[in-house]
Amino acid sequence: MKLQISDDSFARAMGSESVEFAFKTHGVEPTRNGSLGLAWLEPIVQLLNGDQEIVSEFTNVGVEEVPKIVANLQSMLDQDNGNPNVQETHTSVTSTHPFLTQQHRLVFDRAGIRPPLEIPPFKLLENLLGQDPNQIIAGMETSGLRGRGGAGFPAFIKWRTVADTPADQKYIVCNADEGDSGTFSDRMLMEGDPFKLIEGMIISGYATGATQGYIYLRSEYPIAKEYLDQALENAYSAGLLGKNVLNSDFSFDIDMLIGAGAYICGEETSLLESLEGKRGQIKVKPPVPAIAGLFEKPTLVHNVISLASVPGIFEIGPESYAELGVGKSTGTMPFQLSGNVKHGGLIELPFGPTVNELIYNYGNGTLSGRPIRTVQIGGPLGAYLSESEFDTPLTYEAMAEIGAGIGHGGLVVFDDTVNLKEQAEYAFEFCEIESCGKCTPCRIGSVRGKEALRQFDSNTVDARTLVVIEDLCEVMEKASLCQMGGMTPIPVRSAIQKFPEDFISEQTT
Amino acid sequence: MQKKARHNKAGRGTNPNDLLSELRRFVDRVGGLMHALNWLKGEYGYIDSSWIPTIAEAFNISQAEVRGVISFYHDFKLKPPAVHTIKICQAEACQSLGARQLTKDIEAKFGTSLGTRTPDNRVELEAIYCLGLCAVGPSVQVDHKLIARATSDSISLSTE
Repeated sequence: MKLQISDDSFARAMGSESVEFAFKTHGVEPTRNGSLGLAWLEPIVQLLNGDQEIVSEFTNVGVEEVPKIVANLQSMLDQDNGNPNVQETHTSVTSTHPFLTQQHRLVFDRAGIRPPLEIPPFKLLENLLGQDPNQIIAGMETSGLRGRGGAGFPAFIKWRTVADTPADQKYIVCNADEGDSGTFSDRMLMEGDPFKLIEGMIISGYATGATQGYIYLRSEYPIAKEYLDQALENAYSAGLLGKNVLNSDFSFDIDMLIGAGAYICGEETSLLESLEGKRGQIKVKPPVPAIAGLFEKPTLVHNVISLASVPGIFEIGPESYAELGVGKSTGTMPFQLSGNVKHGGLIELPFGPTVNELIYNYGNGTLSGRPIRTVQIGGPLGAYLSESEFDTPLTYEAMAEIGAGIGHGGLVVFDDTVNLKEQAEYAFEFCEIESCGKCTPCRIGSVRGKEALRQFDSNTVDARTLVVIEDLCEVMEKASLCQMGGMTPIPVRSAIQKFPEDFISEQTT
Repeated sequence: MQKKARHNKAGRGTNPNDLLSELRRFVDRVGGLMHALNWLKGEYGYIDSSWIPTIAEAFNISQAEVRGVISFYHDFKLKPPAVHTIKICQAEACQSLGARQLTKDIEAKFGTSLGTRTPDNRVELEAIYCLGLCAVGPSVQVDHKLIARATSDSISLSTE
């Protein structure tokens, strides 16, 4: 019998540390586990039997409930000892909760279930390290995996390019600079199953001929750093990393660098500059990093979830992976539901559920109880959707058709108190704060856009200003060097076009 | 994240030779300057201007380059932090749960506005853009402690 408490950023922010401390003062030493992603239920305390089955489970545990749980644990121990007076309890909220049972977890199959720092079975990895690297890249092509960081670029093209570019040194760089508001899947993976990422990096290194990997982690994720530091150490001790990985001829190292609070470093060229110890200013592409990346060497830059998807692809087979999802949106996507929603958290599903399904079936509507007015998809550079668009399936193609994008899979729900003019102003403001300053449309355009909208009180923008804003959006979209300036017009335009009533009041026309 | 008692250290009085030998271990590492600046931030809470010549010497780059890197990143500050730092998420997911009002409430509670500190140097309010707690916002970080579903009442400073 053991007592387990979830321990990731969600759980800690919801008070798990004081609960853990309370257990210790009652003489019970809880073990820690990752989070299942049912964020609103944290902290979750589970009693497990000798077969690691959940015997009893408590959600939203506060310090005041600890004595009751300790008594429960004691009675179960008595039961183990043959005390016939104790009633057997079998209650697990999470394992039967539709939020979890309806999911299809491939990337997050172990997160919240296996202890995050325990070395997982590495049969698959051993197997792959005996295969022809070209065959692995062919498998990636068959799988149809597209980059999960936001751009949705076919992964195998990058892999093949790195593999085919001759060089004395190649790199795998994991982009763990998850800065989009409304996204936390990278963080959850790194805190809940860091070995999935490490495995993905080793496989991609072997397939492309890269022997050095780097994880670029944002500084806002100190708990992910704790877990990764320990996981890397354990991986080295277990022979998963270092010279002759699992006694094969392949050697692979991983080092980690912590960022310093710059959103732009999620852009791959900026990230590589920062990884070299410089200002994180973006670089003009081409050359693409797959040809000339870190220190001008071929570099495979992938988001955490892209890399963590790799083991699952070969686990179930690339063909089976490609059958999941819709059309060219293959496989599963860990969607992240957040904002003003009752049940927020991580929802991994094959591509294709509609926005409605996520926000109502999983999310259960707003936390405030008011009607949902808009959902922003894909982070601060993503579109605000109107209610009529909520029946759009979440695939790359269907989203593109309505001028939106899936991005990193974050959905932020807003109720009817939202003012879209404020949100448009914020889009410009965020671009101003986070612009790397290299190109004028982004650096100046963002400031100008914010000023143009701010010169009026809420709900009163004159028609001429909207012309100026549209003009500005066009310049930013077409002339910015990267997506920071190039995509800021997306939230701005979607807000103006779909919610004009928030911009033009009757008396100003 | 470093949890050392940064205020017990006399940052400004650091001996350049000691600093130089501390910095040497980062020089050959990829991204060495970032590692070094992050270490200084963790150790002292900021990067003192008087250290810049030593940092430049350690990495064999110009002082301007060191300043350039420091000024680029929000985390690297040239001024010592206040005793307590309260970071309030200003991003969309938290906005949808009232982060704008929460910011005003916290400003009123501590008597200083976002981006500034109290005259007694006790509390500093800082904007942060996403702590990755978006499903249980609005989110606030008080020193090293994360707080979900934050209200101005749930924000308190630990007493030293």
